[in-house]
Amino acid sequence: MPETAPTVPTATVIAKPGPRTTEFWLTLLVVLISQAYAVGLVGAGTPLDKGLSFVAGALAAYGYAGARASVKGTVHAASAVIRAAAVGLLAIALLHAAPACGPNQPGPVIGTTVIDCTGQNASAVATLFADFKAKLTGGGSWALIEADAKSAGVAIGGCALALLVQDYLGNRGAPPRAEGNAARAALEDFRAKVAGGATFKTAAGNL
Amino acid sequence: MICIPGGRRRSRDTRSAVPFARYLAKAELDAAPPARDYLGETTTTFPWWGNDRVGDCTIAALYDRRVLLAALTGEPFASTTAAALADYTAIGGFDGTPGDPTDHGLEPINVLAHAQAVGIAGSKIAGYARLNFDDQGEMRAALNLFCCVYAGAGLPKNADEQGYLWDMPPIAQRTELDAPDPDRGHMFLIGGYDRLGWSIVTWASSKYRASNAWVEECVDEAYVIIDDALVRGDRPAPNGFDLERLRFDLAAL
Repeated sequence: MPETAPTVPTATVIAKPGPRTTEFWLTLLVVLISQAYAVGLVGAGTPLDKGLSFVAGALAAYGYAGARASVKGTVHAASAVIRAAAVGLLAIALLHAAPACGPNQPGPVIGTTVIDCTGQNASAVATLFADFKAKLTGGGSWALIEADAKSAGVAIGGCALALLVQDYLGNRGAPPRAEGNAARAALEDFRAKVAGGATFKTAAGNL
Repeated sequence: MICIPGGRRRSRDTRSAVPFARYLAKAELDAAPPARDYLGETTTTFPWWGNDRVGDCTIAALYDRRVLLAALTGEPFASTTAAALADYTAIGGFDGTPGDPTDHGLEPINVLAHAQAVGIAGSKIAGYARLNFDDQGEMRAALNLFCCVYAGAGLPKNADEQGYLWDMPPIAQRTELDAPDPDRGHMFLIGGYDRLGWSIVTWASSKYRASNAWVEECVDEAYVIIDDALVRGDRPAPNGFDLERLRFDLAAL
């Protein structure tokens, strides 16, 4: 009896209903994440943002979605959607996990808030400024003065601190470099943590 | 007010200028104050230096620098428009007829090289360094140290209408009138800054202000200069730096 080529059994494929597939839930996940970013529910740099970025990055890195789509390519016409999902996840990961201060990033955004130090608080600001200056002359550290400024509040403490830094660095004859940098750091730290990035309007300029 | 933009042609090859950033990396700079206004420390006046008739802004800005430093140091500086035009002629071949083909403006780098080799406004400069104009922190540090910055920009078409305040609308609201125009190149002197903008001398006035956004968008060339007008062995610079300190800081220049 002549040999006959073995018959290769045809695979029997049973397609599961959509909601019972991984692809469905992955796609749904991507859509939900995208919408969350689109409507502003997830802000850049927030813990949720970082968590989502981690999940998305991990999925994309392991090629989970792509590999699954490849394996099931003959089964599910939705594999293209899965690849798109992987790309979407990867994009989210890259967009939101990127460091904020790369070499080509623009400089810090200067807020539009301006605190007027020359108005009704001018007298209180001048008094606190004189107090700060005496402390500095007496050997007080910039960290201590910044703490005092925080206690006095943004409008008065912030203005007095800004004036002190301007006075210290702007006077003829520069201070020692380390002290100068500490002065700048104190003002910028106060501005970022307490004053919301505001600019202090003083007689010496917008600080 | 008649202003002559187009007198600056953007320098094509700035390799002869030491990058200030290289020097910044070598030495720790003194921290710049949050605001510095050298222009505000004087009440001196600035002549046109011929820039109301010819495109000699690259020369005029260097003459303005000498006027500013003289006012800050208390040392005399007297010069004339004729002297500025003579420098314009010496560098670019200007034949004395405003608007004719020899009134074609100059590249700032060539003006600086001439100032170092031959002299401008009656004296030579010792050296110059180019700034990374995209880094406003570096620009501020340089201005604090050298008392002014020699800067160039392509003026937007609407610069004349803006008067003394050169500003830039938010990105989404900009039109082609706001775009820097390379055919309207202009050189000027920056003599102060604060957190919101820059104080500028040009066209016989120290009233000009440019916002950070304008500088970021339009300035495409900037330098600092060191010479006897800034500091000498027997006299500190206007900012209080003495020559020894500057020498230490400027070893790379």
